[in-house]
Amino acid sequence: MNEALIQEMERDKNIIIFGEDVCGGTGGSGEKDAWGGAFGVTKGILEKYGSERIFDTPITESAFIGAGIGSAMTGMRPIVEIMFVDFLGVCFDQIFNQAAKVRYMFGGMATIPLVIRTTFGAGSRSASQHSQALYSIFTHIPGLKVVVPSNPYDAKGLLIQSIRDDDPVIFLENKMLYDIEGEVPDQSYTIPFAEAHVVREGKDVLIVAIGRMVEFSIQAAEQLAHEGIQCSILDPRTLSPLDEELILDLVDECGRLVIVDESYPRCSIASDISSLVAEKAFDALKAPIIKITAPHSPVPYSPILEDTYLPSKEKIVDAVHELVS
Amino acid sequence: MTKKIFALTMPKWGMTMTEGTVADWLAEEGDEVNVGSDLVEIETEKISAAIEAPEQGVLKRILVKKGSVVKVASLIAVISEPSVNETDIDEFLAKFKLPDQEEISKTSEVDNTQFLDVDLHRIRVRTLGSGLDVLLIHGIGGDIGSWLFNQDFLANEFRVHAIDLPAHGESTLSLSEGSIAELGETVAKCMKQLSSNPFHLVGHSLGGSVVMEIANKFSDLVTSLSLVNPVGFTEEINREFLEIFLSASKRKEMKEALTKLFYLTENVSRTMVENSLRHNRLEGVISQLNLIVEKNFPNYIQAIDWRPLLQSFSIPVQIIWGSHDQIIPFDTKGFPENVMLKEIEKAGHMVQMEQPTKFNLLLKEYFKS
Repeated sequence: MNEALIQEMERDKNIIIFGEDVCGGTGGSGEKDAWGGAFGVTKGILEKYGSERIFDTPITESAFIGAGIGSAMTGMRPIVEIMFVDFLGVCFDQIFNQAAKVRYMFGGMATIPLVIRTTFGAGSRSASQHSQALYSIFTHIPGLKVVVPSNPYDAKGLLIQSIRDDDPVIFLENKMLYDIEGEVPDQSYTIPFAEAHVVREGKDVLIVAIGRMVEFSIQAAEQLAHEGIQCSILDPRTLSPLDEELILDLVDECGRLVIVDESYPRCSIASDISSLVAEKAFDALKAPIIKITAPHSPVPYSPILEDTYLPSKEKIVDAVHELVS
Repeated sequence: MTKKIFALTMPKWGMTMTEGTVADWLAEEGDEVNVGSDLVEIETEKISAAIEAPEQGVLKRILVKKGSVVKVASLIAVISEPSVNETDIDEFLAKFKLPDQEEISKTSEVDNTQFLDVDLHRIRVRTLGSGLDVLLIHGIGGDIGSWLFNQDFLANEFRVHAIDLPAHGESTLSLSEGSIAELGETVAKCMKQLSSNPFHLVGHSLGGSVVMEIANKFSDLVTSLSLVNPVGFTEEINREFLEIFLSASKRKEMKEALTKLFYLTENVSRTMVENSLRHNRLEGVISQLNLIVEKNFPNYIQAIDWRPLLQSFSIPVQIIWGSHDQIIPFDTKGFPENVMLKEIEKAGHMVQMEQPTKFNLLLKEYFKS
């Protein structure tokens, strides 16, 4: 992701980055770029491009998201980092009523080429206010694009695509995935939105999984393959726009659907995909759809409860067993 | 007796394959099978394809049930001549040993993918097996994966190299003009690094024209030529394919392009579509491929005609083409008698992928003769 940011900043001088601690340490007496963002994604960029193109903000999310929207309207291409998606609650007016509406209300005369990078997800023992998976809220709002990469290759290509897109993009990074490894080309490349990725092909059950849930689904599918049950795994990659066509095509091929989503169950991307399939591919279904989500409850701080709270390989295997039995 | 009994084993397609799923049996126990008839559908994480009967006979035993996963080189079925009795088959089964899996993974480590530095290019070459040197050269938009069903098989008897041309696969985006002369010179320099012996050259599509260029300019490097649906022997080239292939950014468009390469649409797998998209979306790839197209197919007409040269050729040449090639329609007219012409039925432009058994046998017999 760091490489994606640098390659894009090199290509387009209008790209700027700001947010809490994206340099981290500026203004103090120690190392200027001590942090490079809470998760180190922007490390080294200050040294390369200077404080005119990357700078720390005060802890006022609503103000600097507003600055992002304003600068985007006036010709810059800002990338704003919000440490945790949970903090976006204080910026809802900026995002929902300003960023998402400008192009529509000005009849296309103005655009907001803004990327909001943020982290989400449970599993890091960070408790209820730093662990939510709130992508469904943004998916609900027309005018926003919502991107959730599940692996390093997609993260780079989707981030570059997000930066080049002329609309506001909410780019959600699962904080448990920063350490995973995968092959990533050195060159720049883009992955178009609304192009889901078929991670694995199998004829018996389709598993649609979001973000980190893709990895759990792969583990489940490997175990199931040894039992003779073949699963397809589909990673939508972008929730808005959503590759409805491929979801429906694969439901048609498999006839059984499990959706794995670590966010709350109500009004979620899982329920959205479920309703899409029930509406448009009901006849293809050989069994009821199963949604594996978190319970309708805040993320617990107790490690034992937090682990139980999340979807898991075991829960996916059980769901598939239920469908094919 | 045992000569009449043939083992059918789980193939190894590519370096990372360790096991495969028997997705479906396409023949039943007791069926008579001919060379090339589809026997079983195998699935791996990356691809699925049918295995064809390597010999003529009766499918005596199916040893792995549909849906089961087994390791590479495991016995999955037995074919024999009709006269062989059940006791002999049992004896054959008792004697069959699953090759040591460690040995298999060792061979795949040895299988030696390397990068050669040639002028400004860094060229990926995958080498397998030992014996006479064979070099496989893919077509435009392809890579060493174009020989997925061929290289491992041929490596049982030959030292088989597959190469990524510049701007393809994992080789560098370093073409300066995209001409056949540039490609030929680059490949010839790689050949000199790979072996001091001459090569059996196999070129698919654009690779066919590259092979002709090498034979023409560096004839001492070459033992024989096999041209597969080659560029350079007719004026036509499918403009629609090139245009869609070079502009596709989405799965659907890429699938439309790749479908034109095959006789059967279902032979275009999702992985193939994904791999082509992944490569073409890398910054710089499309402009490099466009260089090749503009140089070799100006206004979508082939610029080079090698036919006149063939008349005086002393190197053996065989041309193999798929009966249903939509990219380069093949015309058998006007070839001198020293050129062997071999048509393969039920195959499109990617004949080596669509009819691998027949294709592999043709090459094997040709190299041996």
